[in-house]
Amino acid sequence: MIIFALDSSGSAASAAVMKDGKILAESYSNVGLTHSVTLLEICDQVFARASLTPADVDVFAVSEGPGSFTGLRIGVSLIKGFAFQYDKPCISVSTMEAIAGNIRSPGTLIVPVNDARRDRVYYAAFRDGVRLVEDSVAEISELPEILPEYGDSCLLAGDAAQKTASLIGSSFICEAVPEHITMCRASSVAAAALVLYNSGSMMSASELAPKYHQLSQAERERNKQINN
Amino acid sequence: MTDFSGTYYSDSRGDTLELARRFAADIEPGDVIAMYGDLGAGKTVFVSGAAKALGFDGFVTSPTFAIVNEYQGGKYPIAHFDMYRITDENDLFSTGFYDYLDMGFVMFIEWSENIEYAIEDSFIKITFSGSGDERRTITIEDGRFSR
Repeated sequence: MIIFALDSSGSAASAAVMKDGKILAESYSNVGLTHSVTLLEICDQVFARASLTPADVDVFAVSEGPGSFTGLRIGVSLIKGFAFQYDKPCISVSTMEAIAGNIRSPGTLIVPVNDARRDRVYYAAFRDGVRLVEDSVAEISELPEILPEYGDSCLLAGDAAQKTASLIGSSFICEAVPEHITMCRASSVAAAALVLYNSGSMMSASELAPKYHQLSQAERERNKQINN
Repeated sequence: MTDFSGTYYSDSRGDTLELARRFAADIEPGDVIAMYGDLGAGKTVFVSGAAKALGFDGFVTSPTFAIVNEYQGGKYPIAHFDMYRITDENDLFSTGFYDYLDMGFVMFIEWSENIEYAIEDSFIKITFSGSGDERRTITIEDGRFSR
């Protein structure tokens, strides 16, 4: 069973091919948001290195967001195109879930954080592979109030992990994971997609859509908190 | 880098183009130029002069309907926005505004009033006044120095 996975939800872009749970080839670059220029070439490289063609793929997977508006549209459109042409199913993976899957640490609260601009982050929380918090957006300064509900300390991952650790480190025990496991990568998307494949969570190309997290939702949630 | 802060006067389209040409010499990738002023005050003419000075040789038009025009092929890529219909941050997000910032575009923004909350303090503010055949007053506040 061959999964082709793509991530262009943030500043980095990557593609990977996974066969029966094993990553055959992956290409990753984090040299600025030029996905519209680089992503097709990255896909070509990965197929060439794995000695496969798109027609060999059983499932096409992509990180659905939250993340960059342009990046998500590029990634989702490309996967839709592949899946439509070869009439294969798609799997849509939460960017937060893909990042959390990079880390195994029993009993540890894992909090992926990706930059949402203006000192805000997209975040979620997981422990032992179980999701505790839905994909959300918050000001970084609010996290020390939000996170204690789920644990006394956490590991941070994602493109805003270092920044978040330095901003909230004095009020909540946390540590950013190392660079090589902190980003959402296509291999992370493939690994999460395999789990979803085994549980039958697939969709058609026409059903696949990016999930832009509504920024104003953060404001509404905050107002609700203030009003309660 | 020159601080362009000051008040300038323009008696013609040519004057505005010339001011923009001089101004563009010190523009850098990621600079945000927020423009204020009524229809016909010279905002699009100014962008046109600056884009040409940066080496873009195509047409510059007001992005009223497109919301954003990209001008590629010059020294730096330019994103030219009209934020008139951008009323909340979800709208702003869906213009790709933040992505253009990350990609190092020079950002010329008309109707910046609507998105002031999203601009860093170091932006360059240009206010245009005057209409018809009147002399235009063009005030530049170069936030790269003063804020």
